Amino acid sequence: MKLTEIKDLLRCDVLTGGDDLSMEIETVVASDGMSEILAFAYPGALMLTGLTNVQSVRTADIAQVRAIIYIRGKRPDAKAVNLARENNIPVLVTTLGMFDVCGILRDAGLKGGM
Amino acid sequence: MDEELFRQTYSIHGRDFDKAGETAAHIKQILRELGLDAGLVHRAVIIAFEAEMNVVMYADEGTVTFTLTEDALKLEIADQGPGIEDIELALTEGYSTATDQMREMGFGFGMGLPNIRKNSDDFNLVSEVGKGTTVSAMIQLNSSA
Amino acid sequence: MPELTHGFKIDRDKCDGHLACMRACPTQAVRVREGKAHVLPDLCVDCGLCLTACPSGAIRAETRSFAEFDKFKYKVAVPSPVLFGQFPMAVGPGHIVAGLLGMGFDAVWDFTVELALVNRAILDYVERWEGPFPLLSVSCPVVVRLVQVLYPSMVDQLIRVQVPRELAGLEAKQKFSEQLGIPPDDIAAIYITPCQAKSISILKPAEGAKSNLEGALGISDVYNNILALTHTLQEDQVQLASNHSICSGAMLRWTINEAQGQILQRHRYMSVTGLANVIQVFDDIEKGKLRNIEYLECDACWGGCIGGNLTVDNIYVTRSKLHRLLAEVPAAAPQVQAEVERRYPATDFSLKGRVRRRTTNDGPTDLRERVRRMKVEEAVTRALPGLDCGLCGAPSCGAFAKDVARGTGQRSDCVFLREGRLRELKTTYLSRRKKPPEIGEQFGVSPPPA
Repeated sequence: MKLTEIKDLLRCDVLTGGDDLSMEIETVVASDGMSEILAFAYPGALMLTGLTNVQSVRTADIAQVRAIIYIRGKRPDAKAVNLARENNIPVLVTTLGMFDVCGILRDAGLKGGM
Repeated sequence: MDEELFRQTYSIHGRDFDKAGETAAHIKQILRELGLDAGLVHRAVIIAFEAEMNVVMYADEGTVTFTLTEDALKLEIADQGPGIEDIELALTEGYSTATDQMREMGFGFGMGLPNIRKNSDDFNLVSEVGKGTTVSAMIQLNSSA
Repeated sequence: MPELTHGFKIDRDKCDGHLACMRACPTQAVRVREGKAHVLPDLCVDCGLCLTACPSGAIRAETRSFAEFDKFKYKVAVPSPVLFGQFPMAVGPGHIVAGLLGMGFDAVWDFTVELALVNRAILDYVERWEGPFPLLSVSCPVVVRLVQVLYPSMVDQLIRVQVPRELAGLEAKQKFSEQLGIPPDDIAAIYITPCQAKSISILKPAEGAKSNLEGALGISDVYNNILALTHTLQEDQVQLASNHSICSGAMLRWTINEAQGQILQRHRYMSVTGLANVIQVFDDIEKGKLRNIEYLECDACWGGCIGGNLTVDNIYVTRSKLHRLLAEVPAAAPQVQAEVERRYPATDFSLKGRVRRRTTNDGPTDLRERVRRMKVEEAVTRALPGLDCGLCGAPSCGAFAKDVARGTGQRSDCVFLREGRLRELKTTYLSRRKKPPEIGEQFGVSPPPA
């Protein structure tokens, strides 16, 4: 499934990485615990999190996830967005909560990261 | 051969959440520049990042020392923190003594130390309550070749 | 490692040590020492930008002469389609083919069929390929070498489908060998090339195999010959030659940019021309952008092969002529299609060797040495001003620091690190200069009395 389709499905705002939203997404990892993502996320997954600090972006970079969607309408600060831009990671925000987002994406055919 | 080719020490300041992760990023840059295997760099960076976060969350001051020999990459993370009472327990996935505030930062879910151990070829933890903790992690350079 | 063959020569006597070539080089392969430019062969990708940049005319492309092929019994010209767009409109494909025959070629090979075969092979390859993306075209040798030198992590993305000119060389030799009953070794397939890079790729293919072509002549080397001959050609000669010349528009379309776009219509295709643009796009790919493009066609020359350094006409005129020619020839000849169907299953499109990263001086020495170099490089970089003035003879402070680290440059070559360096440069450069005439003298006016 393309990231653009996910963006429409979850009615996301795009904070950065807008030129490459046609990337293909197959797996998703969802957690507010960064170590959880570092331990299990598979490279190329989409990361869902409610944690909006700069560490979430560092984690995304280290774990080699393909894109980040922040949930519950929480927006990362400029520093985090800049770091994501530097590392070429698209950043999106949805107002939906974690449970709903996971449900929607699962119904759409996406799989967990492990 | 155990001769040290490279050594760099970084100071980590406790509670400085904003800067946390910069050491790991720097180590990543050096390892990439040296042309080391990508999988190996990935493991080293996870170790450095998790260790760095531990120092930031629990201790006032600490250091990350990164050394390279011809066969191994070593990371030693030493802090003057509260120390760990039960090391066995601390290494159990899911066990955590983190505060809510730490969890709000996305860390302290009981995965940090296990993650470090998982990515090391040799792992050692020495701690004294009230004094501090030293974590030594080693990755063999030919291990993922 | 044996020294790589490159097709450019710097004439040391003509070289004035201008830094133009050094600054123009996209791979930082030029150094200027003691006022003379030289090339680091490992880094050179044969793009020829140095040749264009040199204000002294000291860099020239090495070309071959037709006489060198005299030892072969039978000579087949394999002209790049670009050739047909080079001449005045009155000189049509028939004239050009007749001109090549008049020059001494025994036959001229039209590789429309090979182009169609390769197009289909590329389409098949793209459809089967599972990644990493994008796949990169290999028709431009500069691009292939650029990947080997500057983007080694992308070498496996170079499509492993042989280029049409190589298939044409093989087929031509086989066909004429059978027809004439002589061994293939007595036949020379000679590519008429729009650029130096292709001629080098025939001498020394990137995949380390032997080319199916015996060599190349530049379009500019045959242009005058052909043009002179066209005036003496009889109408029947031209008519006869026309029958052998272009039988479909597919061949011409190939040379006009985005040729493969039509074949890969249903795929995510992108075309980039011009080395600076190619580098920009490759940087993006390396950073992980553009993963969604399936096939990237890249040409080092701006506008594609019609912009090659051995062409005669400018690319806009050439393109315009090719469009007009296209209108005159049938788009798809049925016999081409039949031939493609017949040959496709039996054709071996594979490259004869693997394109590997090119080991450069930065390359994998042992870890101890890499660490040492990194430390030296860091220390030198800290001492440098970062102005990239080029007076040390390296194109940038970064390149200079690397040179020092690997022992090919010395700290004392930097004017900021050693004052005496500037004095030396003055001696080297100013002493060389012919004294300019006094202003008045130039106009035949004597200076006013003091």
